[in-house]
Amino acid sequence: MFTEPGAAVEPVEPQSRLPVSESLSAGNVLLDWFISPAQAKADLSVNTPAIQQLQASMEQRHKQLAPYYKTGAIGMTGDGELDMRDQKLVPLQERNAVKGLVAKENADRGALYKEIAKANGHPEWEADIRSTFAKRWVSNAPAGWWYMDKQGAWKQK
Amino acid sequence: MMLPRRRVVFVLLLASGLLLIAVLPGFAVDVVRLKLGTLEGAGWSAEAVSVQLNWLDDGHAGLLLNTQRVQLPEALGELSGVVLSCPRVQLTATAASCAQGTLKAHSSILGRQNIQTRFRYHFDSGRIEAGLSGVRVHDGTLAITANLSESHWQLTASGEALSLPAVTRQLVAAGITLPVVEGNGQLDVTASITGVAAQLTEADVEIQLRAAELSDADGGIAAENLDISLHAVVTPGNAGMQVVLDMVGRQGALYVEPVFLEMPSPPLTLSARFDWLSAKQQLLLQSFTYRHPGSVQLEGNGQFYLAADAPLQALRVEVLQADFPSLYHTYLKPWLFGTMLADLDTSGQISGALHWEKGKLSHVSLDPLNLSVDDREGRFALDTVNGRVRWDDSTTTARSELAWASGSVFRVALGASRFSFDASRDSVRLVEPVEIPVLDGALGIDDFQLEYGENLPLRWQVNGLLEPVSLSQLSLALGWPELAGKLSGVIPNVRYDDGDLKVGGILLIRVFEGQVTLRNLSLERPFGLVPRLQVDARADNIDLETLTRTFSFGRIEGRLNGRIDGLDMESWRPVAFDAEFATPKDDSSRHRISQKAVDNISSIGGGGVGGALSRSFLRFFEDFPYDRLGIRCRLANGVCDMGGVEPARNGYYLVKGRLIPPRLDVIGYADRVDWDTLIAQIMAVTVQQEVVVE
Repeated sequence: MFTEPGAAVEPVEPQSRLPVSESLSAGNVLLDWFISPAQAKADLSVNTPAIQQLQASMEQRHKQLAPYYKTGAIGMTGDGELDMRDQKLVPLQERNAVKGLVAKENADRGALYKEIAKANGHPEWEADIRSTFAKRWVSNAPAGWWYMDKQGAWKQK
Repeated sequence: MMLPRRRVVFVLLLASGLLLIAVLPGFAVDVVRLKLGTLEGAGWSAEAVSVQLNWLDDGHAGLLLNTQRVQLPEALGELSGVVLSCPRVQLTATAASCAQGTLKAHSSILGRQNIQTRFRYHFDSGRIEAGLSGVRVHDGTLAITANLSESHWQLTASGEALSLPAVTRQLVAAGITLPVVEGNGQLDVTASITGVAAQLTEADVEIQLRAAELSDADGGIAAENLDISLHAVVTPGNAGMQVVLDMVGRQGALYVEPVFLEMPSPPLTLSARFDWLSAKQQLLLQSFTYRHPGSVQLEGNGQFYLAADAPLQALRVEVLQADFPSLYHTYLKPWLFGTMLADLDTSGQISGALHWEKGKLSHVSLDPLNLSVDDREGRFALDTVNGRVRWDDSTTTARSELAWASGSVFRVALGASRFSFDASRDSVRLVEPVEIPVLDGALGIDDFQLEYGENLPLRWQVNGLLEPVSLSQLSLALGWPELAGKLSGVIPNVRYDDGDLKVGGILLIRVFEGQVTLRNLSLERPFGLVPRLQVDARADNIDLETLTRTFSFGRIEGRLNGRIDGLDMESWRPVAFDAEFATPKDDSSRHRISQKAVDNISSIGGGGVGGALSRSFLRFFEDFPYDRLGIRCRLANGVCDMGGVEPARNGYYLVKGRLIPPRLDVIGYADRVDWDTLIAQIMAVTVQQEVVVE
């Protein structure tokens, strides 16, 4: 009853659990200099109705995307999104549906990063939150899934 | 094509001349051997050519032609170890002919070859007829016949089961722009090519393509179980060539990013007639017809300058007929990912025309016929849309008319409407006021104006009037508890600018025998991922008995005033507001609160909000008089800062009893309450108690 603002961010991918106390430094040197370290932390588990809704929709979609992660048809990009890695691994009649799913997922993820930054009271942290998530998605993904390295080349976990 | 022929003719002349000499009386020659050295023509050369003739009997001789290496025009590679033999060349006064010969060679492209050969050379006309069969080409075989006269020539070739991947690789190596495909595609080809001297006059090519599986390197072009045929007639002209093309897709599925096509029955057909002007890199599409039965039927023409930055010079497409949902699923949806139109159920038809000029859309005329669209996410729907849409890339306006039988926005039903609007290059304006039925009321639109432009966000503005809509219907449509009352309002200035909707004026809701007014209503991205609504609300003289009955809360009698300032909702759920509801100070109505309502307030409180009810003798009373009641909540960051109608010892009065017994106070102690928990508890109380307390 007594307030504990924000339950844990429920991770969207089963393997992508973000610790409740997850935080990141604002990646801007100037910002770090002006703001004390305690202030320059983002609460990635912050919870708002918008974040809840986005996570619910991503969780729902994840069931549809999982088989394509497994085959390597899709992979995780360096900027916290998804991309078609090899569409030849997707049956012809499903190819457009998968592209639609990827487009929707990326729209949701973009909105999620923005909402988390906003809920932290620092909309300008969006890019840092995005890159932290990008690393998290990859490090929490199961072996065999594909991700893009810093050079933009696909690698398999 | 012709220059090599002259050399061949020369060699054959020479050979037949020697044969003639051999058959002349008095020349008892058995064997003639000639070393001709290197023969050359434009684009080809043959090294170490030698010819041997063996005299057999009257009118016959054996021919053996050897050459070490033949260099062919670039794309054709080279031949080595060429041996042409004909055991019996028949010689008459007019012709030399070989009915059964063989040509053995190793081609740098096609590998080792052992080709059945026949030829006939006419001395008088110089005409040559030749036939080659069993040419092994990319896993298949090719048969060629040639008819060469002094000026005219004709070649026919027919090939069976040629490997499409190998053929495309070959054509790409020859400098023809084609995607290289992998898979198991096979081609049957029949070609007939005629020419005069060095000039091709016509090529008629028929291709039958079958492929169980086919794909280019990145999967952007792919096919399954494909069976298509192609017929092309190519006629060279002064500056290029004219091509007449017919394609029939009988079976299978084809993916040309992003369009996925399943070949229909009757088959899909594409016919086109175009001129290719090679020097200008210009394609003049004289006409084309595209028929996809059950989906679209298009006709048109166009001009393309392939060397220009915007190759599309002009294109006119007449949509003779287009059928939903096939048109939507096959041709439109792949381009609409990430938009509001990405996931629709559609039906009906559309026809019209689309024109492009200099790379830009210049004319639209579309006539929907019984078109229905229904967003699968339930945001909007329109049923049986008919009319005509006209737009030109010009400042002069074109009149459009649209009507629909019904529709909905967020499940709120819209009735039949008809409107006319004038559109020009960058604006749309409603011609006359229109009234859109909304549930049992109506939205009257006096004027509507929309502006857009290449680098401008979409903007529109509307002035309207909402005629009373029953809250009972509205609340049911939105999945809320059924409310009694009416919603109405004057909305003098609704503005939409780059995704944000602002409503000027005041919306009036007559509900629970009082009224609620809404001001400063604005909506950000109403159809977007995270819709955001902001509004200020005031409630006046609400009848609590009606309110508590509606929400099955336990009867409370009395009146209620209140305000919600700065209500901020995202994804239709509140994130911030400052709200206060209380009994009006001068309220003279009967003030009673039922035992059940007190219990509910207490159980919502769970020991935090309220629960001052002594469970002893007060249990005997069905209800209690009260002086005032009220609640205050300032929501921010998921937490409600709570307050009541006035401060109490260690807390605040939610319900302040009268001095006269039985006196009952409900006191809240919690200052800060988690909003989600609070809502969950309120929902639990109102859902549990389905029996309406009277």
